[in-house]
Amino acid sequence: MLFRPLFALILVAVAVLIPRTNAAQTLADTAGLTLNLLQIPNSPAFSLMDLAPSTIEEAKVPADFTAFLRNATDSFNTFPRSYGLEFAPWWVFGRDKIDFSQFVSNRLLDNIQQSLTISIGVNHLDDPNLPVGNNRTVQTAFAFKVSLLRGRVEQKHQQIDSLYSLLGAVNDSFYLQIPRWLRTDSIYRYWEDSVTVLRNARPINAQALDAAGTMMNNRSNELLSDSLRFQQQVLDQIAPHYALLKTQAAGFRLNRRGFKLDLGGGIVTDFFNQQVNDAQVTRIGGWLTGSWVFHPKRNSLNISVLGIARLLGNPGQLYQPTDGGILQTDNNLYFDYGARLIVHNGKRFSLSSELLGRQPINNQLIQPATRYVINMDYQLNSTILLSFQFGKNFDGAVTQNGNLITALHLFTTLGRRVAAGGGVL
Amino acid sequence: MAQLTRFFTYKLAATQGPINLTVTIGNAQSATTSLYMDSKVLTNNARDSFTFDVSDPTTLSGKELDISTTIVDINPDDNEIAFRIKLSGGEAVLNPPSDKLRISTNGVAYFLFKIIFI
Repeated sequence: MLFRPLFALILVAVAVLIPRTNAAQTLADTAGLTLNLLQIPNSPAFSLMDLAPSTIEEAKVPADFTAFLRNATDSFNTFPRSYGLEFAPWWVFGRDKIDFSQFVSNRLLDNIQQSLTISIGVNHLDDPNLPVGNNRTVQTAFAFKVSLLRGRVEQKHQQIDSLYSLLGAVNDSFYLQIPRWLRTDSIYRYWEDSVTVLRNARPINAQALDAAGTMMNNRSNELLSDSLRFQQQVLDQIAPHYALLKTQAAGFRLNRRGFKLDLGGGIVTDFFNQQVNDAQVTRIGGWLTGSWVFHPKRNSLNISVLGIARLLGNPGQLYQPTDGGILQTDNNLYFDYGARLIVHNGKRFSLSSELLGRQPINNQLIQPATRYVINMDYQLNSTILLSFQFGKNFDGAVTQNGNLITALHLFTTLGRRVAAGGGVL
Repeated sequence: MAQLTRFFTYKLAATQGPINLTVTIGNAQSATTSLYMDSKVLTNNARDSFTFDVSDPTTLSGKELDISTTIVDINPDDNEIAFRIKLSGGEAVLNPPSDKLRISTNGVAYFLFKIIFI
């Protein structure tokens, strides 16, 4: 039995994560728990491999880089067999170029830059009909997701204007107070006067000016690093504005509401018997997910309604014709469509149900199918999520039985979220 | 609270045209910036990232451009701030590396950059 080693592994993993997750939780509690803590790692790669708990996924806050494990096992008695990576290129490489205005905007270019994520997923499959040792298929998926529309930030324009107005007042005060305070220091005053003399001289001695300026700058930073004096000489002078600015910043909520539209796509390749030279593309897909996040009205319930339209190509798919003939292989194309309703309690728990239809497009010998699933998600902390799933899956292309879905998924993520407020995307 | 000053000299081109200043605030934090030329206001509390053409009817030589920026941490998942300036239109492009500071949650940072045109 692998239960004991697995249990030990989980304990070690949780122990390693405790300091980090505690810190994150403290921050979240201070800032107010936001919806993004309830969002599972809805990797499009997992979705394409049918490993995600839900087919219709909410727009989520990207992480600059995330690694995650998924375990949907028989009573946790095997090791996780699905894992993946996801990264947001713009947050990895262009983080220091994204300002607040771009961050809260709903312009197409900003949306695409900030929401684009590339994900890679790996899944290990065992074929029970083949002998052990030759029955392992490694499935890999490369996928992307991008938000075309991110909804609107619920913060009102007046509150944003008020924050900038306070920021401006504090900025003006700093510019007034800091140079005045610095000039009370004789060394700083000496170098500043030297700079003034040198820059007014003609011709300007660039080398001497650079040297004097550097000395002046060094001295100013030396003085500014004396936090006690800075507090007494500068901050105390602007205390009311400064305190108000910090309070307003702390009260900011950046959740997004309204209509959101995501575009996703990707490709799945199977490596049979774990051989690189025995690979086949088994799925290519693209989908649009629209969602509407409502304002919480009563009991702090947050409600989202989602819909999906998805095209899935299955090259070389083995299927059983509906007329009962022999198994055949074909490049089957499906159109999936459906809806999902999610109710969050504003804290850690969410309940959702989804209903999907699958319509074969190019093959009359395959019957349409449906899938319906109920999910209950509980966020243990900011990086671990438990998801219970119950329902009916699409009928298999070969067999029409065994379509009951019942699983408990444990998702563990490692990585840093880049943006606030759940709903930022 | 974090505070930082920087000093640069910027060499003007032989034939003087407008000098283009770019201020970039990163990590989804919010900021306001005021520009002063020899203590006179050029622009007051511009929001976040922006570009500005610095020109003078006479000459910029010997004049001091002050860039006064205050940033507040508004992104609850990131307490780092990034501030960067870029000047072009002179003899060369001045593009120093971004100043990155870690501040407390909802903390404030102040930057005062002094640039003297030569």
